[in-house]
This record gives sequence, structure tokens and C-alpha cells, in this order.
Amino acid sequence: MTDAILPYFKAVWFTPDGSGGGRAAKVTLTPEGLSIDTGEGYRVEWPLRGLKFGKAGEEESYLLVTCPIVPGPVGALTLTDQDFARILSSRVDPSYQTLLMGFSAANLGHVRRKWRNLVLAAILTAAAFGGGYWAVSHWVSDWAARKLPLETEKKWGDLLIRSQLVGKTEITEGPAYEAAQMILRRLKTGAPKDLPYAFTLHVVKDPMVNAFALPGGHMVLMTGLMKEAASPEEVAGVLAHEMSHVTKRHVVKRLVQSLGWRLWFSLFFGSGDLGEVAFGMGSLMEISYGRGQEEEADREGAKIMAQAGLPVTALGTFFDKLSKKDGTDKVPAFLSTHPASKNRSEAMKKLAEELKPHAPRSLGLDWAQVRAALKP
Amino acid sequence: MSAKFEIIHPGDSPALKVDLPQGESVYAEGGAMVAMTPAIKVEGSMRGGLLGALSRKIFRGETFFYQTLTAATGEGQVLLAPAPPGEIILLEMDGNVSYLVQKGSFLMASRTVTLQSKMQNLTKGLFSGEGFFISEVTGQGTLALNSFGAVHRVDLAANEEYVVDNSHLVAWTSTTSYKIQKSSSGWISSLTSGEMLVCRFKGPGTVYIQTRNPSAFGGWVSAYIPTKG
Repeated sequence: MTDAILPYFKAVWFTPDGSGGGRAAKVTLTPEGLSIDTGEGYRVEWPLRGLKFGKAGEEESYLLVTCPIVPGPVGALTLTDQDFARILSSRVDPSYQTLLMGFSAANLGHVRRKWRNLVLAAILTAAAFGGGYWAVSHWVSDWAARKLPLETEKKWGDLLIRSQLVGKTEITEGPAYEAAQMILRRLKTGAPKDLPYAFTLHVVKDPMVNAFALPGGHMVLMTGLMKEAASPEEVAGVLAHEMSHVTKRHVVKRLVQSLGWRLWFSLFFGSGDLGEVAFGMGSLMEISYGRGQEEEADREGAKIMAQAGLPVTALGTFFDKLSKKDGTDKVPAFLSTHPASKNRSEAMKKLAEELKPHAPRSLGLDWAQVRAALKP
Repeated sequence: MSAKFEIIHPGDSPALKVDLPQGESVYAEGGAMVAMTPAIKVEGSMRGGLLGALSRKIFRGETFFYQTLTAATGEGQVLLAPAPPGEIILLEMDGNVSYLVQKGSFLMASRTVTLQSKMQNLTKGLFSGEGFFISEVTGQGTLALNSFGAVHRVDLAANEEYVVDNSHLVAWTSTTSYKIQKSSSGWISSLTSGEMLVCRFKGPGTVYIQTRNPSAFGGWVSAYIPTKG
């Protein structure tokens, strides 16, 4: 016999009464059937037509093979090799075909289940930690923002503004710049007197309709917003709102919060690619405020406007215009982080009545000329 | 030369003697070391990392840290013993058959043997008496298990069945499967027989049974402990 070079399948051999427990065995497929090296110094030959198959083990992960037609007591084999099952499936009694083909599939399924469970466990753990953090993050960021020294906040702001202005053209003279600074000066007269922030307004050449505040009192106003605004009062409204995000320390709270998320993500995903994604998410979160914060900024902004002799309603009208333009007014208020425009205009009208603003004094700006100066 | 294992003082208070050539090591249940020659270096290690160690401690009731015993400066000898009185058995693993081991029965293994937590399904977790997590031991090498009382080995032929009380299990081969069932056909007689739930094993394979039940022993002892008057 040349069975030494025939390929064999690893198996476990059990004696007819099971005595001695399972032993490592080698099974060779021959044209007649199975040739089993029982590992105990003797060989057993089982004809193909007499083979019976079943499953064994905790997760039915073993193929059980016996051959009851052999005279006398018969032992048993267990195998885990899927190739063995597949090769035999075409050679034995067709009634075993489903079982044998299913065995390979079930074993694969077993591996898949194991992976699925692992992935599930990882997701659940991450979610539990993430959820736990989310639950306390507002409290933590509030606490951290209170504890953060103003000097540090200003340093962060100085760093951030530099990174924000990279590759952008900052306008430092001309009618648009002068108009923006004039609006800021007027707003400062309406801001609370004991504010520790010296607001700096950066006018940036950018077609985007946007304005935002950074920690420490830096504000960025894009020329796109100035072009979109129908009056300087509308620009003043947006800036008053952004100033309030600074005075109410929303900016620094969001920053602390997003730093916290980065920490969690980097803890879970390491510094790999996913960590980078998380980093990107963190930056996105920096510029979105919670709904409560938006409403507070609206209220505070309205106070500044009223004190500065500017029409409180201008704050609402511009946001309205924007949300109508991008369709966000159709989003129900409770789903959006920004108050819906309808609610916003109404809230502003109510505020205007409550605040009894000083008689509005014109900003004395030729807005048409300012906008014309922004034309490329 | 490879490591040699010998059970000394067989009976109800045995110990395991391990002779290690220089550089060889084994790992053992934390706190199992009884005595050793100075050449042996003992290190606590969290096999399977922090999470593995945690799951071992929380779910399987085993020690958080395993000991790694290494013959560092020359050949050495170490004596190991488990906490409960009872037999120690040695199993030679050939890499073909893996074992499922109940919590607290692991004593020692060669470094080439792997121990993993394996979760059982809900019914087995709640009623098998082994908890939700058991150890799955795979690989090649020597495995030492301990029991409460003596160890009785039962070899099962293919499809042969055997019923074991759920607190008397030590280990079984992965080729066997088991189901939880009531000991009698009715709940009342199951309760009154004192054998509420049992594990019904199905071969082929081997089941190792301990002749004493730790929790029953606890109940028996507590009846004799004088209460403060």
C-alpha cells in the first residue's frame, strides 16, 4: 500500500464502547471507502455504502461517522474537516447529502456567528462607554468651561483663528471692512458693561453665507453673508447672536465637549484611520450648538440689539430668510438643533415687546454701496 | 528534556509536582503554588489580556491573575495544589480533542495549551450549575484539573447517553453535547428526589465527574457550625 503518501484527514477515533476516550486518528479516502488509522496500531476499513453520518458536540460542530454494517462492535469517528464532508457528499447515499453539505455551511456559520458576536460585543461596549460619556458630557463640559481660565480660552481662540484664516483672504480695509467694524462698535455699546471679552471681527472674503465665533472673542464674518443681508441691521443681528455664544461661553463648552469625544474615539479606535474620522467629527461638532444654546444666544443677542438701539426683529428676519432658502423651515422644531424660523420670528417679536428697546438709531451706512464694494 | 508532571500523595490531599528544565514554563491558577526550588520564577500574568482576565474573574469565578512559573536560572521543581480537598488529574492533550472545564477546576497547563472563556446559552447558564461562562481548553500539552472529592471518568460511545447531577461536573470533551433536563418526568418528583436538574450528556467522548458536590458540602457543614447564642 502506498497510503503513506495519500492525503489524510485528522479525526478522533472512539472504540465501540467508548473506552479510553477519543484518540487522534487519520482517515484516508479510498475508492472503496474509508481507511482509518486508529492510532492504536491497527487499521479499520469501512465501505462507502455502509457509512452513517450524524452530528456531535456542543454546537454540532463535529461530523459523526459510523459504519453499522461492519460485523461485530463498531467504533465511531468525529471530524471537523469541511472538505471531508464535501468530498463524501457526492459519493455516499444521497439521503446524507443535505447533512454533509449543511455541515460545511453550518461550520462556516459557526465562525460567522463567532465574528458577529465579537463585533456586536465591541459595538455594545463602545456604545455603553459612549452613551455613558454622552450622559455626563454636558455636565462635564459645563464644569470644565467654568473652570477654564479666561487666559487659556483666549489662547485657544488665538490659535484657532490662525488655523481658520489659513488660505483665506482677510479684508482689512475698504467700505465692507469699515461697515463691519462700525456694526461691531455699535453692538459693543449694547453688550453688558463688565464683559471680559474684547471682541475682534475678522472679515473674510468668502462667498459662503456664514459667520461664527471662536473662543476668546474672535468672530469671523464672511462677505457672502454681507452680500445676502438686506440691511446692516440684519448683519448686526447675526453678530449679536454670535457674540452671545461667546459671552455665554457656549463656544468653549462645545470645544471641551468635542475634545472629550475625541478622547473617547481615540481610546477606542487608537490612532488608526477610524481615529481620524472621529477627529473630523469632532471638528464638525465644534460649530454646532445645542438648541438650548441657540435659543439663549437669540435672547441675549436680542438684549444686545435692544440696548444698542438696533431693531430686535432684524435678528429673526435674517435667520428666517436663510432657513426658507435652504428649506430647513420645513423641519419640525423639536428635530432641529436650531429653533425653526417660525418659532424664532415669533419669539423675537415677543422679545421685542418685552425688552422695550431704545428708539432705534440708524447705523448710518449706505448698505447698497457696501454691497457694491463686495462685487468682484 | 521536557517538563515532567507527577501527582504526589494521591487521594484526597494530593499535590502536583512539576519538574521543569531550564527555560520551560507552565501556568497555574493564582495561589496554587505550594513550594518550589529557587530556580523557579513566579510571575502574575493576565492571560488573555485585561478583558480576558476580567471575564475570568467576573464570569467564571477564577482568579484574575494566573501564575506563570518559569525555570529561569536552571532546572527547577514546583509543587502545586488547589484550594478544595480532592483529586488532581492529568490530561495529555494531543491537539485533536478539546475540553470544556467548569469554573474552578483548572489547576495548571503547559504554555502550549490555551484557555478561553466560552459562553453557554441561557438555559445552561442558569441551570447547569456551571454558570454562563465555562473554560474551553485547546491546544497540545498537559492539562491538570482538580475536583472536589474524587474524579470519576466516564467514556461514552457514539450516541450513548449519560445523566450527571449539575453540580458534579469537572470537564467534558468537546465531542460530547449535553442538555439540561428535570431529573424526573414531573416537577414535583424532581423536587422531592433532591435532584432538581441534571445534565444529559451524549457521546462520543469523555465526561469527568467529581464525587462530591461543593454546595451540598457547604450546606452539610453549615448545619454543624454553632450559631452565636
